[in-house]
Amino acid sequence: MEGRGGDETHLVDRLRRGDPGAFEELVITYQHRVFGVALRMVRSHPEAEEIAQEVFLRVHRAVAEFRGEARLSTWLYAITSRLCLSRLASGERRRVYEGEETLTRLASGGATPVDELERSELEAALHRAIAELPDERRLVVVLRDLEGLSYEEIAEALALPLNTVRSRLHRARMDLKEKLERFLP
Amino acid sequence: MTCDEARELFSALLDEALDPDTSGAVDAHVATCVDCRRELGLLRNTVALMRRVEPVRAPSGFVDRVRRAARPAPWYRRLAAGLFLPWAVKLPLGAAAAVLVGVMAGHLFRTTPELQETARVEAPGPEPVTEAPPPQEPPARPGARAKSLADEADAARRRDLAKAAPATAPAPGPAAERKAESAARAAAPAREAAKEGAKPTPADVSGRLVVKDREAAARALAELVAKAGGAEVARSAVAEATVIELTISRTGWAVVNRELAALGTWTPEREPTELPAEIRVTLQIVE
Repeated sequence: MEGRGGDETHLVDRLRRGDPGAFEELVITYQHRVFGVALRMVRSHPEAEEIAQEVFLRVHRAVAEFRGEARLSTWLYAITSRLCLSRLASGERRRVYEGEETLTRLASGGATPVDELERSELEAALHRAIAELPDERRLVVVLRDLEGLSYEEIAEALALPLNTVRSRLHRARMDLKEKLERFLP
Repeated sequence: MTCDEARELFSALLDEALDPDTSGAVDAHVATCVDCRRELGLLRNTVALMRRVEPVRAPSGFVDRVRRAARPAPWYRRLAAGLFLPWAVKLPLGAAAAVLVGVMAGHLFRTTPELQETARVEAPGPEPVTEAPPPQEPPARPGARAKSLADEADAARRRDLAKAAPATAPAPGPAAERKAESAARAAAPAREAAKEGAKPTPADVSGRLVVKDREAAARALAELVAKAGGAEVARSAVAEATVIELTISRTGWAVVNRELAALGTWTPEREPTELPAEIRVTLQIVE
């Protein structure tokens, strides 16, 4: 993961000192990850960009209060998750969802037209299956399987007990398995 | 370990998030259970599929947009925000403005008799009209005539409503009594006028309506006038004619005038080209 360890501590120090280049570096480093989580949660590019922008602005405003007990990335994921869940819970959604082709692309496995066809069918099914998950389960599975966070990091970001993270992740994966069974080898 | 217990731990097993003892117990169960082995295989493939999903990228220009949004606002905006945004300032200012508007409205109401009169006349619901001595005739002043005609019409309407009101209507309170007094004052000139043959003011418009059935025509006319927003203020019937006096707006009269042809033959005796906003009409219906 980018921005880990000493680099992250150094970046936080520079942010706290008000180094103008530090904020830009933070955005450049984490933009795709923050935007990615937001997009997979709200499924709309404009809304995801609004959320991602708000995440960085909040960090910019509050970095002086960041005590460094959690990792900077965990803090970013925590803000992103909260904003996404509150947006999803609010009635102000624009409900213009992105097509699966832009959201759930699978790394290419085969090169023949048949492979391509199967792949796009699988992408569509996977997109639907992820979209149909309840928001809280979807968030956990996105953070774990798409963003690669550990159980502990997810528990910290979402302020949940470890067992809750474990059981939500398990339920989410079981739901996905049921819906994707016919595509699985 | 049962199948259900083992399956609950599959996800954590795949993530190597189990302690060695639990992990060993799950492995031992899977080694002896075909169904659970198959189930674990499917879940492993599901997770593998999820991990093949390509990451998404933030749109181009995102970094610049965030940097611009994070730039501090110009000094005048910060000053305005500092002055007006805090509730400690905004609340008292808002409350003071509301009080000021209220005081001004009250003062305007007290110093404008027309507003007070309108407030009394426009009170909703039928009010029983009590008899009251007619007030002194107010001195005529330009522009007051239209108002007095409207008052008369309103008083007539009130009389009709009072007739229609149920006998068990509640006794009027002091406010209702004041309104009733006002309505009675307004109705008095109309009653006097009706009593004395509508002499005091000549009608703006007058004419004869020759019809086949006088009673039917009078009824149809009353409906027409009511629909056009006018009011009948007096009616008298003699052997050969029914005389109806009414007040109506100029536009309302235009509507009635158009419809008169359907009732009979309308011959105007007095119909000036320029009429006031509220007019008084005398119709003589003959057969």
